[in-house]
Amino acid sequence: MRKLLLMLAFCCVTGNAATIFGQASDDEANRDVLIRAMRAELVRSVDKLKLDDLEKPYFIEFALDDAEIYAANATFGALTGAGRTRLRVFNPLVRVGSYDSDNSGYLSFSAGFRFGPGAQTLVLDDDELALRRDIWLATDTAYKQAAEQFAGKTTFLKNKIIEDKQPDFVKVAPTMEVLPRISLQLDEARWAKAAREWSGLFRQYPEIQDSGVTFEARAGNRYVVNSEGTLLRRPFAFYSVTVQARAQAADGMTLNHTRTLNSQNLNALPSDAEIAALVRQVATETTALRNAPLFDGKYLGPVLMTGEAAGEFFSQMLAPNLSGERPPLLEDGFMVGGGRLEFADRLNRRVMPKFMTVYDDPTAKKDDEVALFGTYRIDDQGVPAEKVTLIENGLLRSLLTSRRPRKELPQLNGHARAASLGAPQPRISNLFVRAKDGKSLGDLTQDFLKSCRELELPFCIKIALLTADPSPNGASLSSPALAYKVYPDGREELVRGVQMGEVTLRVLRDITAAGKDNFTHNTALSGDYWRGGLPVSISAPPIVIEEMEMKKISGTQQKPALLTHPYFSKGSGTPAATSKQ
Amino acid sequence: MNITKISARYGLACAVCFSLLVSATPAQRRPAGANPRPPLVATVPPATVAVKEPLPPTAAESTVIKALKEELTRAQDVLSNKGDPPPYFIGYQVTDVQVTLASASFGALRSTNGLSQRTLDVDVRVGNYDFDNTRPLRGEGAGGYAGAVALPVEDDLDALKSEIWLRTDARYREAVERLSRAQTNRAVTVKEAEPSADFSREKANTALYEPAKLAGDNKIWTERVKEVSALFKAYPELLNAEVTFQNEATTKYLVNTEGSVLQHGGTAARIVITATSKADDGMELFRYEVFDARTPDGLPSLDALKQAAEKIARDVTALKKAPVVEPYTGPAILSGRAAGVFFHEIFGHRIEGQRQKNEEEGNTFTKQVGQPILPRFISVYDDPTLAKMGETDLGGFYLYDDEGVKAQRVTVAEKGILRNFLLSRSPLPNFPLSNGHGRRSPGYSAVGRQGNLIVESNYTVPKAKLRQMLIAEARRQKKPFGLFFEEVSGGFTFTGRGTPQSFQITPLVVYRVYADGRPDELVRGVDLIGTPLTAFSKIIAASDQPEVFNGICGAESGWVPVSATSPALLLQQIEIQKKPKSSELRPILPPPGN
Repeated sequence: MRKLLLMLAFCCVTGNAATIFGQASDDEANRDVLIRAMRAELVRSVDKLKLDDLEKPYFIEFALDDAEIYAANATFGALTGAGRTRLRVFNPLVRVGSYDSDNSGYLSFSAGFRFGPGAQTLVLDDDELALRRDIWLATDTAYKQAAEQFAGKTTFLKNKIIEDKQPDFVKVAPTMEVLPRISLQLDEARWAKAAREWSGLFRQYPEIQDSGVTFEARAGNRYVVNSEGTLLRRPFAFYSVTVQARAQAADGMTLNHTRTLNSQNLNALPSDAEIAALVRQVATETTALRNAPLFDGKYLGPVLMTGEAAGEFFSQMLAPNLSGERPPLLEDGFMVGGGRLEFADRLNRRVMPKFMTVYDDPTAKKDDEVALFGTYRIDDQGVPAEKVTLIENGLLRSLLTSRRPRKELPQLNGHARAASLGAPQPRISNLFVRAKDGKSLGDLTQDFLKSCRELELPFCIKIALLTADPSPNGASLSSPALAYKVYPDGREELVRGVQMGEVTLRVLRDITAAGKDNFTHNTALSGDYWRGGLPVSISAPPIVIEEMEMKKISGTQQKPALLTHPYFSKGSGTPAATSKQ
Repeated sequence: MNITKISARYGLACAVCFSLLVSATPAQRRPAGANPRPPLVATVPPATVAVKEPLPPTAAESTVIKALKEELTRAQDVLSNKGDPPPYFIGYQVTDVQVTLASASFGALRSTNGLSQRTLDVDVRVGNYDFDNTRPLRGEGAGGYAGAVALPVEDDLDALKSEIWLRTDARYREAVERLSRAQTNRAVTVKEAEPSADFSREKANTALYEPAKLAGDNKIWTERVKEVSALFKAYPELLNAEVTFQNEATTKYLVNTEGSVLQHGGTAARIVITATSKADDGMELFRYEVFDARTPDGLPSLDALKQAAEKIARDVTALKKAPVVEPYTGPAILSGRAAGVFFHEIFGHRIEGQRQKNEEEGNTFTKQVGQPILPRFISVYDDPTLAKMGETDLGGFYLYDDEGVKAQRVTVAEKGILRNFLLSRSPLPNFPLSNGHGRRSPGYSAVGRQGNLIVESNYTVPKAKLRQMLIAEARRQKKPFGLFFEEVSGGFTFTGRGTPQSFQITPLVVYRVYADGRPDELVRGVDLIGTPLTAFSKIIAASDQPEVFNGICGAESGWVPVSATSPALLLQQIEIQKKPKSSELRPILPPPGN
């Protein structure tokens, strides 16, 4: 095995530690103790990190998030917790072998489930030597694990024939982007008070059993330094208000309802009055859901998705399938869950109706007047960001790429994004779904009703809100949060307890009509919590899907509570009078 | 189930260790009964210096108590009328914890955190005292995690009540469903050997103490931990090294339908100093020191902390060069702190009440009340009412347990004879009442747990004499050396039937004490292992100086602070095994700046 390792690793040493940062050493970067500490350890590690029998690393990258988080949670007019945290999360990525074949892209039982092998937190003081100590230990661990992985992969490959031989890592020219640092500037007392007051608004809604308001603020700076000479320092910020409510219907069904407001700029967050309105909206909607008729039986027919629901639909069904990363090699018997990559085999084939086009544009800053969330100039692997046309008139034209290429997609388009610890992966940034000759919502609804009547259905289903799925897998759709029966005469009736039937990727081709009024869905996909997940925007028009299956939510219902809310039944232990809306 | 664990406490939470609560597989009986060894010479033990903490005056009723009482009354009214079956007992406990923490490494701040939280536990019982919904089902252990609910940290009566009622309703439903399962289980399984009641009848307790408040200036302590940790820079062999200050105030609020109303709590401050290194063969080396006090004022001075840090750094550096010891059986001395952990594991966990009535348990001592189980010169008691032992604050101090029963001193073994168990409100045959040892961390069901476990010997010798006896015993056994376990980090034991009845203690500092008079030699890489009943029979002698180990103990009812106090013990025979070692080598590059 040792011989083999040497054989495969002979071509891997590139660059010279002394020249790596020749072009990146400007004053601004050198004033930053985090950059100084990372560079010092990077130089030392590239130069000297080597186990006796194994090769030096050919590539090392340090990613560091210097983050602050403030959160205030409140329920029914009182805080359940509030506090500020600071953390520096450091993630070293060490590659052993060569660009053509290295330790990455191989999942095995021994090494498969490591999330960012050497990830750890760094000291919080700007003490260069103490920072370097932490970086030193994390990098040492990462190197040893990479060397071990490489040995495992080498042994594995020895017995396998790999047809599609592609490099494991594409070499790119170094890039530099050093933006001004930011910190979390926040009047904590003001936001704690606001959260308390917003949560207190639920005292006006006697049919809500439990409720909560959470304000979260995160700000900091993300650093990427690598041995190719790339240096990135970019600020991040994410502010959110989450309003949750729970009610129990007369038949015992529990109804949870949530709405979230996100912003990347504290000043762009809606005013206190607007947030209060959102709280009231959640309370009103939850109350309405509680009192809505139960959706019983089954539905098979056209569905109209409007506003945020359309954006969430594309986030769940389309976005996860757009990754063009070559899947990893798997040790025999090793299974991987998560996203399917069905699209990779469908390049230049129809995946959506002819009238639809989809592109992703990290360089776009606004959609009409709405600031977009997924904007950046250089991706997390140091590759310049590009607009990519993914689906053109219904035909799949390209996919999002990282530096781990696949044969069909040799071009990098700068979509490697760090969602969580570990190597960045292709993700959407600002996804635009567009329809040719889109209709106004009124016309779209009329068409929808017409097809409904033609099918002689007693009603059709409109979805205005889907429950959020922060880690969609592209193979199923979450339950509707707000679904309406739309009767042939146009009358709409909110229903509760609706669940999606099976949904496959085919649903994208079943879109029969789309609108022209695009809704910008600014959200975050699941990712590192200190950055608030991965910020993305999905701009999409309302759509009509030819046929979807819906059914009554499964599971047994609890009996209604014997005890009633103490606040709304003061002076008696018996249930409060019925709703006062 | 039933692996229990003690460790020196550091950090805020120990959630990681929950995974150690593994379930049991095929049965294995306990080894044959103990054969206690008679003392060599009987002497009068020195008086234990133990001081009880004075009790503070009664406080006014807090908003939390008011909220709990109001909801309790309402729940009792409604559920006794409409509930089918109605509950016969409802108990509420709120745990209010305020913690601040600051840690530093090599002179730099590593983390700083503040946490303020309130959690609610609701216990609802349906059925009756003899048979209720808490009856263990076959194949299930006692305790268990029901989940705790976050309550507002602000004293807003309406907001507090709005969370309490919802939880009460949910817990009542669970209780009704669980009772029906317990009844079915009873009907379809063979009759249990010794049915005892599920819940004891206790008198109500009322006491309102002022809520605990955080004392001390965190800024000063943040600077201190940085200053102390900076000393580690002088020790190039260290890998990770940290100094942590933790300051917490806990207030417990309890009301129940039997009329108990309690509000009590306390503060705890601590400094933890840790340092790690790696031997050239990859073995992890670890040393730590913990200082516990009721408030930050009681912690050691800056100079004393610096000395402790220097000692730890020197010790780890010395360990790196120490030889690895081979598996060995022979005589050994356990220091008082090591002996405390030894007793906590091998004895303390086996005299917890619920282990005597659960079918899954080894029931080591269940039927041995009145029988000799320890050497005749050894007595063991557990006394949560002790605040201090000499100058040392005891971690297992409390006034009322988590079921509202007044804490009591329990003599478990008197001159080697088993007298009693550590009891929660789950009674045993001939032990119908709790003795104030029902404990839990929020979210769990309370079971009998240790508080301050104290081992006393009425045959003691000075330390120097104990050492001479060790050498003599080594010679007698024709061993080249005996071992001295000076410091341990903790241990664990299996009490269930499904796993071997064994224990392991994790020593940090162990010396070879040579029979031929050579100087003592530090060794590394040993774990102390054994089976409990054999181990008891090997105790030959005890020193005259009690020492305290303060720690946090994890078992089926969560993590609770405890202490274990013991004199140093001479054991005729112990067994050690090699510590599993990491295959990972020392870092390749030298530390930065070197």
